[in-house]
Amino acid sequence: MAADKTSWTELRRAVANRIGAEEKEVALFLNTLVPQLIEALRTERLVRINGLGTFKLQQVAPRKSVNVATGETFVIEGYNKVSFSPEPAIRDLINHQPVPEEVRSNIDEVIDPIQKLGAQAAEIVDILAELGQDPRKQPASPNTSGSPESSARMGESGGPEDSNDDAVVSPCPKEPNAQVTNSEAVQQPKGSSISRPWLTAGITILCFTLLLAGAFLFAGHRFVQWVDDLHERSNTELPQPAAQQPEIQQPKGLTKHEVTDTQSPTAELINSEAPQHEVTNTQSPTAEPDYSDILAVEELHPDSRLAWVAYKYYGNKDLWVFIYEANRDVLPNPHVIKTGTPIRIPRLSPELLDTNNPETRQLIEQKIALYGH
Amino acid sequence: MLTKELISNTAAASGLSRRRTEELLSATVSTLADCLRDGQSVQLQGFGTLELRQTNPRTTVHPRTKERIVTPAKMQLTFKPSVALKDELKNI
Repeated sequence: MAADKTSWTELRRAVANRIGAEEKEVALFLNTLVPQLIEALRTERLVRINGLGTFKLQQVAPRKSVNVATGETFVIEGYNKVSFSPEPAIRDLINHQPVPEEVRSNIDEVIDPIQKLGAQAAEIVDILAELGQDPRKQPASPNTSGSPESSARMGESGGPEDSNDDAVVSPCPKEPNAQVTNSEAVQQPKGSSISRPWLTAGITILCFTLLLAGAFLFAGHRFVQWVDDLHERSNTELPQPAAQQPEIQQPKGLTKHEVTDTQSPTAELINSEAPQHEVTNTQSPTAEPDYSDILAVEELHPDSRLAWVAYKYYGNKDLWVFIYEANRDVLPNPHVIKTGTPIRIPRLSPELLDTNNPETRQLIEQKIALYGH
Repeated sequence: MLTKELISNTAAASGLSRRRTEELLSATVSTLADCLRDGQSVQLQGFGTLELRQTNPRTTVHPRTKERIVTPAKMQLTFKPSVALKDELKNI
C-alpha cells in the first residue's frame, strides 16, 4: 500500500523548505515534539493536533486465551494501545485529491459516491456482454490500468466472494434475467412480502368487522326487533280494518279476509290467524284481553321487571306483555319503570295463561314485536 | 492535551518561542498533509508511521431506506505506533 514512505529526514527537509527555516531548528523542534507527544499520551491519554487528528491511549481489557501446544488456558493481560483518528479535513484531502499512479490502479477513475445497485448491475451486464465470459474467471487482482472494465471487476470480485449478495452480481449471461433479478433485489428490500398500505388496510377492515360483529352480538337482536316492529306497525294497521269489517258484515268476512291476506304478504301468518279469531269471537280470551278484571296491584321498584312480575303472578315471564298493556297509561315504555309506580295485574283467562296454546303464543309474539324487548 | 498546551510544552522544552513553535507545528502538519495527499506514508521517528490504507468498494445497506447501495473505494489514514512507543505505553 505505502509504496513510498517519507522518512524522518525527508520530512524535516520538507518542513524547513516550506517555512524557510534552518534544518537545525526544525530538527530541534521535531525532536522535542515527539517526546512531548508521548508524555502527553502518558499523562492525559489524549493528544489533539489541529489539522491532523487525535492520538488516544485506549485500554484493552484482559482476556483468556489458550496455549495451543499445551492446551492450558492463560490470561492475556490488559494493556494500552495507541489509536489515531484523523480529522475530517485530512480524510477528505486524501480521498478527493488526485492520487499517484500506484494507488490509482487500485481504484476507479471516476466513482460516483453512491450508485444504485440496478445501474451498477446494468453496467456489469454490458461489460459481460462485451467480454462474453463468466466473471468468476476474471482475475481478482486489479493490475490493469484504470478503465471501465476494472470497475466491473472490482464490483464482481467483491460480488461472488460475498455469498450474501446473491442477487447482486449473479453471473447471469442473459440480460433480461439479470435485470429482473436486480430489480427484484432492489424492490424486495423496499417492502415486506405484503406491501405496507395493504397491510394497514387489511388490519383496519378486520377491526371494523370485529366491531360490527360485536355490536350485532350485543344489540343485534334489538335491531332485528326494531325492523320487525316496523313491519308489524305497517301490517297491524291493515288487519284492524279487516277485523272490524267482519263484526259488521259477517257473511262477507271470509272474502274480505282473503283479499286482505293477498294484499299483505309480509305478515301473512298473523293476518290469517288473528283476524280469524276475531271473526269467530271478538270477545275471545285469546284475542285482546280484557284488563278490567284486576288480580292484584303491585308496586314497582327500580329493580323490578315486568317479566318477574309476570312470572310471579302467571308462572311465565313472557306474559309480561299483558301486564304492560293493562298499564299503558302509567307505563309509557315497558323498559323504563319509575319507582313506586303501582301497576295493575290483570286477571288473565286460562287460555292466555297457557303459553303452550299456539294462539296465545302468537298473540304474545305479536305484542313483543310491538313493544320491543 | 490539546494543541495549545502541546505547543507551550514544546516551546518550553525546546527553548523556542511559543509563536515559533506554533509556526513550526503548522508547517509540519501542512507538510504531512501534502505527503499524505500524494499517497505517501510518513514516518515519525520514535513515534510511529502515518499510513495510507485502501478499502475496496462493497455493497452496504442504507440504514434508513434499507436500500442496497455501493460504498465506493476509499483511502484511509491510519497510525501505526512504533515498537518503542508501544512498549513504553503498554503498561502505565
